[in-house]
Amino acid sequence: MFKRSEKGDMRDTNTSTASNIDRSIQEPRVHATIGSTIHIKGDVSGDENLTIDGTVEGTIAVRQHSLQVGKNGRLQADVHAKVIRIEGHVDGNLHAEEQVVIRASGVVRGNIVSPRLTMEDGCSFKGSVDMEGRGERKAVTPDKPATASDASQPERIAAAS
Amino acid sequence: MARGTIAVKGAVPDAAPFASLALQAVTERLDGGADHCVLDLGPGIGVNIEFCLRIASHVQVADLYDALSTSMLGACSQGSERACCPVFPELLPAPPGRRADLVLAWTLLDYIDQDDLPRLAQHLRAIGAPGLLMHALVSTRTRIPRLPTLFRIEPHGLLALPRTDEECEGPRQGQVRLLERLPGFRVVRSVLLRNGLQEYLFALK
Repeated sequence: MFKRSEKGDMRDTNTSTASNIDRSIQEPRVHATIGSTIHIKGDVSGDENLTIDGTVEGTIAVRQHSLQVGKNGRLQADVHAKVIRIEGHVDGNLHAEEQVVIRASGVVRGNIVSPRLTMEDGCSFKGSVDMEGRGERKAVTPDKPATASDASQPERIAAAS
Repeated sequence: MARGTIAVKGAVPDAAPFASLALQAVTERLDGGADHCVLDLGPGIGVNIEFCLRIASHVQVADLYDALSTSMLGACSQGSERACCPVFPELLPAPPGRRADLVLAWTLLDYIDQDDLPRLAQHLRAIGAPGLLMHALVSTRTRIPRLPTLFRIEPHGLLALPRTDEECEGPRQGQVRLLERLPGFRVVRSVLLRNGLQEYLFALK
């Protein structure tokens, strides 16, 4: 019935549970997910963190929150978010207030505007990067010298004359 | 399009970066200066973009290897040989509202059709700032890797990441021949490296 809380005081767990339920009803969810079988054409906006494992064509705006594109995620969309993490495919422009992270499995075709950028080895990127706030800009890349991007497998373009 | 992380064929584990005096010169020229713009004609590699972002606030990754291959393969499949001529304004659009200060060409000059080099030079003149710099690595050997080698800009130089052991005939372009095909450019720095690559730093006249 009672248990010690982290602060060491005694609390009625039933009361606490009820309070949490009330809170969960009153407060907005902190995370939303678009599942892998969902295909959305249109504009997506919200006031909570968002994970996309499905397909979205249009625009995505979660300006004060983070957006994660899972490995199955496919976006043909311009994105505005506080933090953007890409594990899937994005064809569109990324505008992040704080940071863009492209994981090793991520593929991005578009322009990035963000004060911070992290690109893992193995990711594929084609487009431009604009770092807003020159003094704060920073790009970080894990050091994995034995791997390389295989985005293109370019062949010899033409025989030499 | 095949993609993902691959083990680099032919890359020896203890391969060491080789010094790049040209990139060092570029850094000294551009570092701490005005708001610069860099065009990377190779594929997007994180550490290279990181390097560029130290000297520029705008970096454009063109992956021209891939763009040219795709463009030409598509055109060639239609049976028109001259339709293979790459349209550089489409493949390498001008940075919006800016002019490029530095082009990282890597080994592209060895792999692009020699007849297309003047067209590339013309396009770079159109989108480049006065004094545009172009860094390039050109093989002095008769045989070159069939797939263009990737390079990572490491703290102590460039690390080559060969992707195949297969070779093909290379154009083996000397400086005079290169300059003939790159009208408007002059050589600022040229260094023959131990690995058989000639490192060039070109500048727009």
